[in-house]
Amino acid sequence: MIGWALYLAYTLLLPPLLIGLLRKLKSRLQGRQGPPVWQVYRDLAKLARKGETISETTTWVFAAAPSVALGCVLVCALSVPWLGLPAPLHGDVFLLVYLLALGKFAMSLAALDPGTTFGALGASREAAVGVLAEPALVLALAALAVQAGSSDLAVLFASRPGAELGTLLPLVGTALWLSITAELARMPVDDPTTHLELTMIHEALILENSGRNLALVELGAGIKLAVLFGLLAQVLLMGTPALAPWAAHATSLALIVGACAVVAFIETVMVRLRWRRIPALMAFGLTAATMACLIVALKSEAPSPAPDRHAPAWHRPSAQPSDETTAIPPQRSGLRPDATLERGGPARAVLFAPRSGAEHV
Amino acid sequence: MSETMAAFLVLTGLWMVGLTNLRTKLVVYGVQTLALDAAAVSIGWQHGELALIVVGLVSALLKGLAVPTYLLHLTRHIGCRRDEGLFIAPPLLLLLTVGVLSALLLLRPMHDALRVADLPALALLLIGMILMISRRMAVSQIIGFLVLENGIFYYTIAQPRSMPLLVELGVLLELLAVAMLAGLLAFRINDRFEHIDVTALDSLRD
Repeated sequence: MIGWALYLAYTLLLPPLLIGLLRKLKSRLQGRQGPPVWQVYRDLAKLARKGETISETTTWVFAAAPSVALGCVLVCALSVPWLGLPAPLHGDVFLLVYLLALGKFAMSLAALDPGTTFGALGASREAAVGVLAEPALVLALAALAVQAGSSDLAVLFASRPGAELGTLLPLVGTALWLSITAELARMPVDDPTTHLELTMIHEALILENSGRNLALVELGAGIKLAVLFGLLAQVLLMGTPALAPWAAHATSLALIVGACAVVAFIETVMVRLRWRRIPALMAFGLTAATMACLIVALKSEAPSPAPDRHAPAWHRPSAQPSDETTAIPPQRSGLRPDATLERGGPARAVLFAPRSGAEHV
Repeated sequence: MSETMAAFLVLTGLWMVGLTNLRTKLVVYGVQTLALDAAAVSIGWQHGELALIVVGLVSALLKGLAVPTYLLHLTRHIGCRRDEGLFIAPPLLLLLTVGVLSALLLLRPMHDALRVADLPALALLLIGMILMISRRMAVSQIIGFLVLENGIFYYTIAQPRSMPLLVELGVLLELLAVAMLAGLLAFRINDRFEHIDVTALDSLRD
């Protein structure tokens, strides 16, 4: 119950603040005063009060799409443990990816519905960027899922890759960062402040929206930003020893704000990439994610050789025995018994064959 | 720490595969080499191996600073800034790199002593090869060779028993000589043919 209340409160109240903070930071970095941090709340309230102007050629698709997109993002926000605390719903890697795609699909349909040129242009570009960004996201999360032996996000983030897999998190983090910035229509891929319709990607999609419709879209975009940065924070937290819930929560919030600061900095010093260069950027993320998958595959394929007594300490996992044939302590296997008991049943949605030591699933 | 460094090396290597600007590529190479040398020095410091510290410092001086500076000077002199003439477009090349890197999966049955810690080194070696064969400009191919050598160097410092100091220093010196010679060669090619596009060397000319 507390989980529900907490997650709903954060989901509805934090995102406008984050966007306001991002805009403020960006303005200050660019030497401007910038709007106050609370401006986004006021904007949303204003939009909710205003009337709507809709083209006569639109159908129910246009009216329904923002709600569908917001619904998808809300389910994401309640099923991904992005705050570092157990999420109220069961989240899964593939559920997350499909929900993001469904929301984008709904918005693209809505942009095509009025039959304007810019909307169609934006829809086709958004779809192209989505197609390029999604494989990196899927593969990066899949590498983590194989490593943890489960695609359940709660189990996945509770697992800790050993010292031998230390290369995994930087590779996954890079791939995730690139695909998340593309997903959020942020700088190297898209410029959120552009005023020229021809260069717009995400903004062209919502040119026709107004009033309450636009408020829903803006809120959805904010929640998506918070949830995806929270997801990245959880991935980074996997590199630290297991933290207490409040410490994990505080660190997650700090990392989310930090990610916003990084975005503000990037948007100050960089310009948008040319449209033709975007595939190279996305291919870089995809390659990093595939490298992570390769490392996990090679690790899990065969038992690692017996520890070399002469090997320097940087090769030996510090505290754990490196011989995989011995029983793995529960906190290394990724499937903590207490994590499954908390949810009142066995862990669901185990798509990957669990590694040795996780037979109790 | 060492693993994070390994990931950094692989990521910068992959970034170089996608880059078309020669100057940026040289700077990225310099940063990569300095990071690698920092890793060597820190490992040597931790384990009291003087050889690794010396090799790391000399390598930082020669490979991290001298070679990129020389090659930057060369590109400025020749006046070639970009290596647009690829055999394959960068995104496709990156995806091809994925295919080549999956060759690492084949290594497993052949070599039982292969450790996960060695993978980034082997990946860097393969990336160097891809850099060498995929570009047209002579300078890019030199960079590819240097990245390949970085992979070998990382492999040796990741081994429990590293090579003797003398061998390492000899390799470094040889590398410097090779880079100078290749640069000189590129300069001469440019002098004679007014470009350093090596594919054009196939056609005969009086």
